[in-house]
Amino acid sequence: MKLSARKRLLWYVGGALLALLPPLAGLADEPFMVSLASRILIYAIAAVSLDLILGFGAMVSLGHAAFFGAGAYVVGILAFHAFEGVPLASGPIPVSGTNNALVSWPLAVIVSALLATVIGALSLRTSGIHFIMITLAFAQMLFYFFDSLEAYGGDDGLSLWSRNDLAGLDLGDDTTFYYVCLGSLAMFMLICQRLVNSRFGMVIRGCAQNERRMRALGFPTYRYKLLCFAIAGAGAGLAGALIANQTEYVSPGLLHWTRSGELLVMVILGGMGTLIGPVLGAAVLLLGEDLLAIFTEHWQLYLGPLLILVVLTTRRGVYGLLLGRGNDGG
Amino acid sequence: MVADWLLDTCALNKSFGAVVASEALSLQVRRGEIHALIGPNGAGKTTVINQLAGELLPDSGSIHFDGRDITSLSVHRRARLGLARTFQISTLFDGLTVSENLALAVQPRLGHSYRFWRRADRDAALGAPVAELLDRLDLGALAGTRAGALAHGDRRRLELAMALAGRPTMLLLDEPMAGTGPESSRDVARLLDSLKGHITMLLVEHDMDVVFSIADTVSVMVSGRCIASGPPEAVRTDPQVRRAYLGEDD
Repeated sequence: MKLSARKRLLWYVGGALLALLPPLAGLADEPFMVSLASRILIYAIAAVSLDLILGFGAMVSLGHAAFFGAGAYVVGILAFHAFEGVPLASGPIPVSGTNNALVSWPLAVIVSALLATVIGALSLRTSGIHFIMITLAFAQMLFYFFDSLEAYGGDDGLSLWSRNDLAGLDLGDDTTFYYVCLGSLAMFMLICQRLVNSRFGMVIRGCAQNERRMRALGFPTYRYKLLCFAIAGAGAGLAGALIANQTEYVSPGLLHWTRSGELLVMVILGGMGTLIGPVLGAAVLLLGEDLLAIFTEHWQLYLGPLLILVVLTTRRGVYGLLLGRGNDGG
Repeated sequence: MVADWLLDTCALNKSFGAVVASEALSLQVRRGEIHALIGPNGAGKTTVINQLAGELLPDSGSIHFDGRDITSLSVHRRARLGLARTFQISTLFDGLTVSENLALAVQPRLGHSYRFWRRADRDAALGAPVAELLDRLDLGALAGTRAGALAHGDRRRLELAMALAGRPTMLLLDEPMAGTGPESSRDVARLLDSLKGHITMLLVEHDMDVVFSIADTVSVMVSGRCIASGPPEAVRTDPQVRRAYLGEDD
């Protein structure tokens, strides 16, 4: 098949480009590229996780940044306590902070997943426009929570002293950190790739297309959708843990609804309902921002129409463009 | 009463505002029979199906299925008990292929679907029953076609195949032949007839030839009430039925 050959080519070229990016950036004497690429990879993880619920599950959430920000704050707060030497919780069993990535990253994932479970459990009782509004409301609640959390910097945010320790790797080195991000994205995409094609994934797609029929077939759809929502939250939590490390700074801005909007744009721009699409979307949006910003400070003025153009003229965003005619998605 | 009722509804009432859709409706379906539910448009037949399937809850009354009170059970619990349905307007997964539609319909029967790793399309536990259904409903040539691209008659057959995929003990069939040509109608009727005895059916249908040729019992609904119920011949000659329904329609 011509289409599947094109898909494979895209995987190979994309994979090779990503694997060789740091040495290439070194050759081009643009070390800053590595840091930008890490940022793209991190946002790609968040966008792919959003696409699980948006593209595959047809759950339009405008609160996905809440899980992204929560993951970042878990890492930030644990690191803060580790460096200040102040226990996180005193009492009979004192809990101290940690700068160990093997502890704080999984914890960020778990906290975000739990948060998504709670928010999802309430939000999924609604659908359509109500679902959009209620996820937005929950995310904004969390935004204001961290915004007023003076112990951790409030609206000023919280600076980290350094990046986390990860099993002897020097995450402070941008190239090492880049490969950690790349590995995380690859792992997460492999998991998602298996997930969307498994029996569970088929249930999620079925719910997206016709929930009434799913119930009539005997599926308790609410539970499946909730689990999917939690898995998406976990993915965003991982991305959050990484972004906290990359910028060595966490702030309420990470949870703001405009950030959720940005993630939505990445997914829709890149190609909803595919796994590569959100990665492309993250790359195009962040690169676009960066490039346009060189020419004009009003770059958003030009990015907007570009987005509209892509959404109106393509069926599956940038990914659909790259696959060319004859792709019916998937 | 020692009759073996698989489905026993007692005094169902359902109204939407001032509109009475079901009024003191009692309906008994014997295990193994094809029970036809007929009546003019707007008589409330689909509302009955929706109450039996659990999409609507009755205002009062009770529904027993296989000796069990299911009046307030959720839709998916009823389906898992073996009470399957088809929809009057085909309700399919339009973006998925015919095979994928059927595989999804088979999944609940195989237990929970919290299986995250193995590819569903290479799962033999799904593939075998799907192949059998494709064959039985004569959909084999269309296995890879997206449901959204199917012709009307094929959609109706897929609709029926999906209800059969769960190997139900009872089928609620809401106009399974609606809008199909006479030939296709005859095929469906023959299929339903071949399932008689294995699967109990409640059949809502307008095609009187089909109804009177395959049904064991016919119940007639008018304005939310059941005005007659019995063997086809008795119902056909019932003066009240003739006056209220058959005379007008045919």
